[in-house]
Amino acid sequence: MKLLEVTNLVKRYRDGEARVDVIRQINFSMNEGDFVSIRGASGAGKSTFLNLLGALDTFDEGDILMQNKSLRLYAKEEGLAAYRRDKIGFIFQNHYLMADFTVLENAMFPLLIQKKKKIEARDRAAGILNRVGLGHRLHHYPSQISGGESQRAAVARALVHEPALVLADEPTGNLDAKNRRLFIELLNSLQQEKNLSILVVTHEEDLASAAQRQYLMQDGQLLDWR
Amino acid sequence: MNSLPFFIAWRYIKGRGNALLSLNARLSFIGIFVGTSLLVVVLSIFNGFQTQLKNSIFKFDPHLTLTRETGSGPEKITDWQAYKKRLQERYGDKAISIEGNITSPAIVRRKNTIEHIFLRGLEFTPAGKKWQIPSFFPQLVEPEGLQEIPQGNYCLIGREMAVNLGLYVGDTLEIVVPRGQFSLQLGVTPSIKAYKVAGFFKTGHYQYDSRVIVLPLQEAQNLFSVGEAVQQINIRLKSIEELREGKAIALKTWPFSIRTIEDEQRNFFHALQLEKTIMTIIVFLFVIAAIVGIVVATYNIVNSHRKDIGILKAIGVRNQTIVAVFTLSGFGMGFLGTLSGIMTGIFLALNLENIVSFIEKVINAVGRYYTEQWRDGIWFHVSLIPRDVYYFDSLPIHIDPHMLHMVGSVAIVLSGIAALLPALAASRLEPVRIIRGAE
Repeated sequence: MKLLEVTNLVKRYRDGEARVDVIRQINFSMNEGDFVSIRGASGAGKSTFLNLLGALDTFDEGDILMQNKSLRLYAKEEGLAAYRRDKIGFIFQNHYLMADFTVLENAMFPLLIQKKKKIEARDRAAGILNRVGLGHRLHHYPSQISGGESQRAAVARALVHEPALVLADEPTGNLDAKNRRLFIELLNSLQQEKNLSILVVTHEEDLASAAQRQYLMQDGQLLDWR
Repeated sequence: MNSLPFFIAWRYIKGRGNALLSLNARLSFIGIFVGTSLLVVVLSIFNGFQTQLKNSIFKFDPHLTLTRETGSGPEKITDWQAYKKRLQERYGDKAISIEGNITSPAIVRRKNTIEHIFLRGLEFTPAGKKWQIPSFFPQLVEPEGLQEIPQGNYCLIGREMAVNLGLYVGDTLEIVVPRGQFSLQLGVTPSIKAYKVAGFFKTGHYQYDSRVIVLPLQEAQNLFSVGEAVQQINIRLKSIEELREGKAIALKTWPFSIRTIEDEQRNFFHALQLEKTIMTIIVFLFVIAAIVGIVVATYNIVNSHRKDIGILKAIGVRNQTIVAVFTLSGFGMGFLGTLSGIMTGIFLALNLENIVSFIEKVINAVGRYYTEQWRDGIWFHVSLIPRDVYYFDSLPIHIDPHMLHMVGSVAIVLSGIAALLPALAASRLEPVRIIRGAE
């Protein structure tokens, strides 16, 4: 079933008189349960494309349809915050865990934002944290756990509310080889287990090749890789 | 109601782990705490002073003064007994006393000292060969518990007058008053009479205790040679709060001039109020400074949580929730600081006498030790609140619940408002820029 459809997407930055198209007429689609990777050099437009799909940034031309509903319509009806809340799970290069909250509380946030009851949020967050191997770290603060564990906690936070699409931006960028391998294994197994739809942008070969469909981003254009 | 902003704001105030307050919250808390506790102490002292002064005035002065004014001044009231009866019927139990009264400036002479004073002739009830002192009369400090004075030439004087003139109970003084007879050759003929001091009273108001002599009404009538007439009819109400209603009752019976105690003491009360207002403003500036501290602290909280703001917005938190989080942070810091400041202020105010005395002891002990060790050994005792300068036996403190409510509400509301600007700034942060590391 079609999850995402991107048509003629353009993102343009203006620098005085000059106009720079960082995303140029991209057409792209994803089905539910797809694991897609986009690789490319720094500055190719990978993160910008991801930010557009996650409604963290706005596009200039074209359209993005999530489950057959345009983002323009989302913006008008519920607001883009609601779109991010209900449809998207983000994993960033930096884990961006909130330092004043425990690992469990961090993972509870997406559910609390959806106004789920605290008990339900706690149970579901503890469940997913157990699944990613952090059952023993629930009440630790981010400063008390390792980088690899932090990134797994960020995965738990991205998945806890069962989003339609998980967007991961260089998620292994800050991990060493061992943690990177463990992270890729985890992502793979979760994707298969939960039939997750994942779009990951990376310039790392091992992560990119873990995906079923692979693309290359070059000068703001998306090319089939394999 | 969405509890998420409360959850996040509380953690930002409290800090992580077992900390009582985060560093930023601690600084704001201290500012508000000190400001409000000082405000409570200062206002309680001012209220105490005002209450004591008002009580002394309300107790000694009549609440309503009825006079018969003519173009040339107040006229003697000869038919006052008839009016008194009518007024008593009208007031019923709303008045403590309704009495004929003579109040006049006079001169007192004691040996070679002459003082300008005020003479009051009050209605005392005859009790055999004595006069019963009325129940509304202020405390008699010497002889303690005195309730009657002998009939004849006896008077009551204020304690401070006794000190100033060197008088003891039983001593004699002379009172000189204008008798009202005037001739071109002699001018006003005075009336002079000697009185024995029957006792000292204390109103708590220095002006009265040093300047007023009280005589039984009949003695005053004799002294002024007015027969059975009086100058005014005085009414003391059961409740001073019902002054306006009390005046309205008098108006139905007395067709002449009626002045309330507020009319008589208006300037004095206004001066007291002005003094209190100025002090309140000064101390409130301290609270304002603390509120500015909240603005700074909230900005600091916003700055140190920019990444949190970015990620919260990325995972779907609305701008309004971000505003609520940081407004609640400021509000919470203000609330905690104000609440504990008020409680501490109440504690300090209630124990101020002991605290001042303790500080006095410490200052004197340190001062004495210092002068004995390093100076000439002479130390002059320091008294922070000298009793001979300030006219009270104990520090008057009155903690007014309305005042606490006002201080608390204003400080808390201002804290919330103060946090609003940084909160709005936080809500305008763009998550994509934060996540990219541009902000």
